[in-house]
Amino acid sequence: MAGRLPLDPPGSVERRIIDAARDCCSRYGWAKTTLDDIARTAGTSRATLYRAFPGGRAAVKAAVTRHETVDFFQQIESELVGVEDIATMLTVGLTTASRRLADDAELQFSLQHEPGEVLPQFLFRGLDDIFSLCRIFVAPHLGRFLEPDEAVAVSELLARLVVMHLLSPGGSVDLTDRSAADRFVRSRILPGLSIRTPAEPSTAGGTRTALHPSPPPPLAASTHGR
Amino acid sequence: MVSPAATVETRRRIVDAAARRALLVTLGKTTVEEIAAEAGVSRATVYRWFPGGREEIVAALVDSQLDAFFSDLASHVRDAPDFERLLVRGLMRAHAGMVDHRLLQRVLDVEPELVLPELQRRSRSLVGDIADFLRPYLTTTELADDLDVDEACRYLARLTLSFIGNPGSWDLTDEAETTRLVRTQFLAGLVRRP
Repeated sequence: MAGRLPLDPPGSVERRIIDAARDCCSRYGWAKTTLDDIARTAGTSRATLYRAFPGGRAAVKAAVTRHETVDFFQQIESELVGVEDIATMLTVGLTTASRRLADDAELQFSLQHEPGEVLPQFLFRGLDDIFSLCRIFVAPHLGRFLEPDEAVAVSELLARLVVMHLLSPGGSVDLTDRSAADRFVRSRILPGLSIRTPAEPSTAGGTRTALHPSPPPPLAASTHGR
Repeated sequence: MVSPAATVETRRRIVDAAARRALLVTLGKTTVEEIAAEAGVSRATVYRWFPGGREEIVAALVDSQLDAFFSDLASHVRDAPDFERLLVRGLMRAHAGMVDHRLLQRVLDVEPELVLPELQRRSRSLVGDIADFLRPYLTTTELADDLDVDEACRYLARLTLSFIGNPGSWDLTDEAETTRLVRTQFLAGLVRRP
């Protein structure tokens, strides 16, 4: 599919090195992991490692991040396929993403012990990459219920919420909890959407509640009930 | 005997010197000696003010920049006619302030790993401060039934910080678009619906 980023196949040297690097980092962190550690864990030599990743440490780290990110978005996408309504899709997206990040040992280790290594991926410009991947992997699925522009905007909102949850899990809503996430989606996100409702009999506005792209009505006059 | 004003001034000069080093070189490669030289004070004076050395100076620099940024923001939005306008003005002003912030853009370019943990460490108290600022304005708005106002304020604060950091596909220099963002993603779930 156009725009897809393939993962290195399992069993390839690159993949073994990536897996080894993740393994080392979840135990010791990036700062204390050497290329020798990674080569040894991968059962390969330093020379082979440099042939696969001529950029050395930085290249291995970039490959690990890319692998993780693509794998992450592929998992999210696989959960969104076949979901029949937008509320469920938003909830599934939020919980799948939040749980996976909460369970990611390497990421959690780095956030706690060496935040400078990982925060650049999640803050300021780091969000650019995350948003582009949302556009590729998530927005098309939301597009079954929303206009394309709105689908992109909502896919970005989901990413923001997941990142906010990752970086301050003490926040008000536990997005790893399915029913809490569902309540959040229904009370906070759905009211702002103009959802396509092809199954419902047409109303004055036609088959969809045409709020987009014109601005929705001002305060206290949104058209969607809970 | 040195006057209190002069000593506070010394501290400020040291922090300003660190800001200049960040713009010209990098904070990561700057030593306490170089900051002292730039500030025109002795190394001992720097350590008297900042026993923790460079790390503590960077923390003070982040504090002073955040203070300046958010007090400008507060004074810019304070007299907004309603809550929606307040959020729109705030997002637009903050976005412009971010784009024009040479020091922040510079450190994000060359040494994000140094400054992002400092910013992240402050995000909790920042969220609290922004939420406190927003609360009296939010309560003048007709709110959805059963809304937890404190939670809603913290949510808006976190969302605001996220958009200041990166606006995504929204053009926060455009008032109509920013208004649409505020209505759909900030307020739709908080205000009373007919």
